[in-house]
Amino acid sequence: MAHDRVLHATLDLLDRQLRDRNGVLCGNVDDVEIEIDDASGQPYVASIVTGPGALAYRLGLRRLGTWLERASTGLHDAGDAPLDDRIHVPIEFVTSIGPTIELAIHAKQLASYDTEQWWVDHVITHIPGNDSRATE
Amino acid sequence: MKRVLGVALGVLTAIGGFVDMGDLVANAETGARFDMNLAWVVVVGGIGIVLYAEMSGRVAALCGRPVFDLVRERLGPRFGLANLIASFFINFLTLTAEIAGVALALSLVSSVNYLLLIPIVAFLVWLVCWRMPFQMMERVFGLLGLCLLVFAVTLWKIGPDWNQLLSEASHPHVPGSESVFTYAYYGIALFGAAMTPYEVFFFSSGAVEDGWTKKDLGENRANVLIGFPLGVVLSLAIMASAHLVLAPRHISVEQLSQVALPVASAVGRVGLAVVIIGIFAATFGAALETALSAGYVAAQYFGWPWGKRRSPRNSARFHIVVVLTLLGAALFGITGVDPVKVTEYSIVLSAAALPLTYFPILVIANDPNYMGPDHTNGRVVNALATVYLVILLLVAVATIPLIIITKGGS
Repeated sequence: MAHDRVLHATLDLLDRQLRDRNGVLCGNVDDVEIEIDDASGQPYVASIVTGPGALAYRLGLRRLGTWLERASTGLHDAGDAPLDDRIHVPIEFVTSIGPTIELAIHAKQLASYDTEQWWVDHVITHIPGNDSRATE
Repeated sequence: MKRVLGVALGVLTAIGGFVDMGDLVANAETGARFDMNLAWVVVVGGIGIVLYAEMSGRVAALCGRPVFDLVRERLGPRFGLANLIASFFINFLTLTAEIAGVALALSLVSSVNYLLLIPIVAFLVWLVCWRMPFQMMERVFGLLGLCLLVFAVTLWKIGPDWNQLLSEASHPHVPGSESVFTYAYYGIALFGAAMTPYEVFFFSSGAVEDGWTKKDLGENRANVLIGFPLGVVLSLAIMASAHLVLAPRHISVEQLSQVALPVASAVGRVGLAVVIIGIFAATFGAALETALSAGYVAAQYFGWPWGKRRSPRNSARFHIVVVLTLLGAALFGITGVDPVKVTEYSIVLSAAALPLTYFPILVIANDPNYMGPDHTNGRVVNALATVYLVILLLVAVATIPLIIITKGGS
């Protein structure tokens, strides 16, 4: 991609598919967090926000959104998380912006992974053939 | 042989889209009621789906993004969600009808009441979704669906006056016994059936499941140009055979079994057996298409991992949506709702939701950031696609009033 391409936060970031460092789909860009640079006074994208809370918030369900966000930030992953919480991905962890947004983290570090894991643990595991490799 | 099997995705998508439960009945019904006066709608709809399916396949091959991903991205979360709810609902109705259709086809040979077969059919559909590899699925049901070509044989056996048939089809008018509104209602039903959105959901997601890349652009074109025209031909053959066999005897089509009547009378027992296999495969294929599409649209809207390529363990939410949708559709089907009515409403309603799905495809197919500089739409495709978008908008606006005026086409 050309270096001088101008990116628009709403057009090139919002609602794009996220992929983790192994190429696993791990949610969408549900919101972006913008901060103002102290030195220059310029706004910049500080982090990508992802998870059901951020989506609910953007859909206009503010109370539900705040509640969901609080619920998911509380559950810290003790693993290899260099993230401050599980819904904000600082822009440093974004490795490429294109048709998909590539992240340098693992899907498990994000709050949106919790429901996936819940269904695996409580339902999928109990159905035979869940590990079948449905490939050619 | 590999080349032949390479178009299996297009053939399955088209057979599931054009000659599924809804269309089998709609085509036969319009043939019996309107003669060939609505044949042109099938052709217009066929060209539309060729245009947009090709675009969706091209986008999927070049950047790996299936249709509902684009819907969320270009329409934003709110309109995307509205489209998700609408598409999901239509999909659900269609799935209910398809499961009932498979059950009806099986009850024709087993003489067991079809309601008892619904749970078994739903279980079988789930089993294929859960375990069968995608490519095997598209090949088995795509090829078996070709049994419906027996309708073309039927037409040839009847030996109609081809010139007259062609001139009837090319000089459409509203028959004296029908009003302009019922004519428009059935026109929209046929158009909605031809361009029903789950075709592009399934086709583009299937392209990703089959791992298409830039090298497969030719395969994409072949799939689209062989699959969908085949669907059009089958649709027209069903319509014409109903027109020639059923209309003179004043039989109006209300049941799936009546669709097979022309074949039985013209080709005999073997024909009947073949057509029942074809109906089974087409409705089963459409059930798979809609069940998987339910999972595809939900997963792609929310960004979950999805697909049959991954084990259920690695795409849990996708598989949960598929199984819950199947369960719901089976329960709805068991209540004894008339599958023909359900499917009629679902295809007419899908006409109302079409623009929300097709507009994002057209936008992305013109975006060099996705497509690369060489593979964006050409001028002719854009001009045609824009005309279709206008038609889709007009149809979407007209749909609901027409349902009310005609009281559902009666």
